[in-house]
Amino acid sequence: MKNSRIAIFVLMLTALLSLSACSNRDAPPVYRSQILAFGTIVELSLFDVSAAEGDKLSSDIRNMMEAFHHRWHAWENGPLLALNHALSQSGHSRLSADDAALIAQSLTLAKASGGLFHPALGKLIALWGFHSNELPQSPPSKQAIDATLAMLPALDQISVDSNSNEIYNRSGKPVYFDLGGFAKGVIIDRSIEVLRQHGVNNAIVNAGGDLRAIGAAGERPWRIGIRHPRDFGVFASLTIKEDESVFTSGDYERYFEYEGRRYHHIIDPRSGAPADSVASVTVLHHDGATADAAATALFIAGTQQWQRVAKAMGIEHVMIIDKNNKVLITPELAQRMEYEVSPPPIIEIHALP
Amino acid sequence: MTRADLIIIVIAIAALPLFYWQLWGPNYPGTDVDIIVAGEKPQRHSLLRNQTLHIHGRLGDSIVAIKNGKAAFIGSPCPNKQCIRSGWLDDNGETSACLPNGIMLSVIGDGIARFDSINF
Repeated sequence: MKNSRIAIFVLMLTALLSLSACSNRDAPPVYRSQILAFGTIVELSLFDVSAAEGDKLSSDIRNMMEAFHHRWHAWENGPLLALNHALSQSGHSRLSADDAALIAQSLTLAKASGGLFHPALGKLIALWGFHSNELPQSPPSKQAIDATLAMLPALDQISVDSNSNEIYNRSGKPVYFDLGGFAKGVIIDRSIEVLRQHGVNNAIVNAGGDLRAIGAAGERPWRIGIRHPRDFGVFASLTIKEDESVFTSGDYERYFEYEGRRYHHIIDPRSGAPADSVASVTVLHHDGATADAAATALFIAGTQQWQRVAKAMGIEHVMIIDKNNKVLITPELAQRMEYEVSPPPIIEIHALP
Repeated sequence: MTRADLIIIVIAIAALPLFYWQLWGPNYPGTDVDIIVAGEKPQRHSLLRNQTLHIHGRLGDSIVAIKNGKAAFIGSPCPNKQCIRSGWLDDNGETSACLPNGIMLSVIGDGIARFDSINF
């Protein structure tokens, strides 16, 4: 009898220890660092990398991001303001091969989005007061918006010659590039390139909530939570397959309230005002730059036009959360998404045309 | 085997989900907070020791409070006070930042975070 009690005790202890052992095995050796760069919090998660190597990579990536941030800053006095000035005055400028490729990529994505992702919206974004570290107090007047829209250049009048790296503005109107809806994707892609060059093939680069993940956390895939657009906590989650970017555009990121109404920073180039039909758009795509531009374009496209724009941009995985927390989702993403809210949301699955 | 032995076995089996929940459940309390000033090494402080810290940033001093296992910005020279509005942090992996002042809080814990990264 005594022996059987000891056996039961040992059995319980073994069961408990085996659970603990599982938990230790599940905690992968992930190097994590958080850095302030690119005007936001950047989190690096690197699998099976030593602290010394991780610190060195964090430092390299921070330096690269800070240089890129300076190069493309939309309102601080720097190279982008000089480019805008040249294009507005003489209609022409010469770029480095790298810069020319980046502008050309933004114009290609803009064209695919039907102009909803618009990389030369700087004047309008400034008019709304979002070219500042401080949030604006009130919206601009309708007359001021209309006057700014009238001076917006047609994107097909801006071109990049990939042989000479020259950029031309034939619109006859001033050009104000602001790569805000795209630059974060580019810099995340470049960070992933840096990691791969150093032999790191299992990693996440998360810049201010948008991320690209490659490889896995050892034996299991990377697990990504998607934050609730209207509440604390996680709304939905998914696991990453090999190499994917997850980008979300939401009306909760930068906004001000005026007379009881919320005005956020994603401006519709058609109306000149913040797009206003959904709470957030999440896009899953291979590269970060495309995912970034697509999340912006689909947010502006809204509940009526998002399927057409997603198709045109080659995006298959989209989740929209509308203002009533209803989910509109493509079948490709629906089969991978787990919902973390209770009760689960109302879900409509929409295949792309 | 007596009836009492059987009860012990039943209790042991019944308790397994509880252990499982404790180890795998959704809440992962933090143990420390890293205070990160842009470009500097993080300073780590225990969440178990209540204290108020003045951290020097680009604009001036941000005030960080550590109280009852949680950390928060309670004072800041920044214009919007978004850092203060983001409230108290206590779960492993939670972060809050004052971007204008270049200061960030990041809660660190022993447990497993449920997600490797959060998209928003």
